Amino acid sequence: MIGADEKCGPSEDLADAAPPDARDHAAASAASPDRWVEEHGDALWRFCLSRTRSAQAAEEIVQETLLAALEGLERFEGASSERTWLLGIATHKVADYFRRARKDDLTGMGTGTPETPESPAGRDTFGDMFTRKGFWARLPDRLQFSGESEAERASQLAALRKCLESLPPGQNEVVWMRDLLDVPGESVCKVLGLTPTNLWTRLHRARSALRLCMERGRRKKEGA
Amino acid sequence: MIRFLADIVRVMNMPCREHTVLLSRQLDEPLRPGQEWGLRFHLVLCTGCRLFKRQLLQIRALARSLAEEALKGETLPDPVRRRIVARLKPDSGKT
Repeated sequence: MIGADEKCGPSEDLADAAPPDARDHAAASAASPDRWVEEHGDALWRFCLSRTRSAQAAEEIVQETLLAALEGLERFEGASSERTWLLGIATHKVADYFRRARKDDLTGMGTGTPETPESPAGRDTFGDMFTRKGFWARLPDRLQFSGESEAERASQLAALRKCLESLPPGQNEVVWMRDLLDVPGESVCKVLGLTPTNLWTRLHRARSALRLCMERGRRKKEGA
Repeated sequence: MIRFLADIVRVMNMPCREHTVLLSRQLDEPLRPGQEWGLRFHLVLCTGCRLFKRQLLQIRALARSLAEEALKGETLPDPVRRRIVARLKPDSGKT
């Protein structure tokens, strides 16, 4: 049933993942959620499903995203493609979903938080990176995160995924929007209601945390 | 011109922690020319910041492929599509 249009292969998937939507601006004023579902439904669905790994959550989030897009229509100013804009909103909704899940975990108490036991990346962002005067206490490793072999690349991607998940939701969402989906900074600020300075600070923390997390992961692997 | 030179001097006198802030910001918007040059001079001298920048760029490149991965997969199942479209109709639920 689901595989009704099974024919679209991975290459086609990529092609339709990033179309140059030049007509977005004019089209957006004709607020049509039907058209959004038609044109971007698959991308939103894949995105939400791969982030939450739950069809129920994904359905909810896709819908919330479209509703939010509908309400905030005037905030879409054509700075990005329509799809990027929608994915940006979806990122925020996914982070909300994890925030809620986390809160439930806390109120549930003692059920354990499988996602972030120690939060290796979230906390202690700059930890031992700098001396008190702000100079390097220990130089960053001379790592290459640009996988030479296919296997190495896959393990680096897995490590990055894990490090991303360990970021607090507020940092996770800005990295997803800016560094993964390439949502323009302006749109990120609007979706999240941040000032540019807020956004840069948050991004800097998040990127530094990711870097440290990747470096530690690598070191642990080599030490083992 | 004065601003340009002042920026260069200020950036070169910053501690590395501040340089990492600029290196990150550079991914999001262009710095002022003086800041840019100050940073460039600093990078020539500072191995730590150079390595930081390299890691930052490599991780971002890796992140992009993660995003491509997240956008692959199955299509929106028809029943879900129908439910969503129905719930988005202006006359259903709240106004």
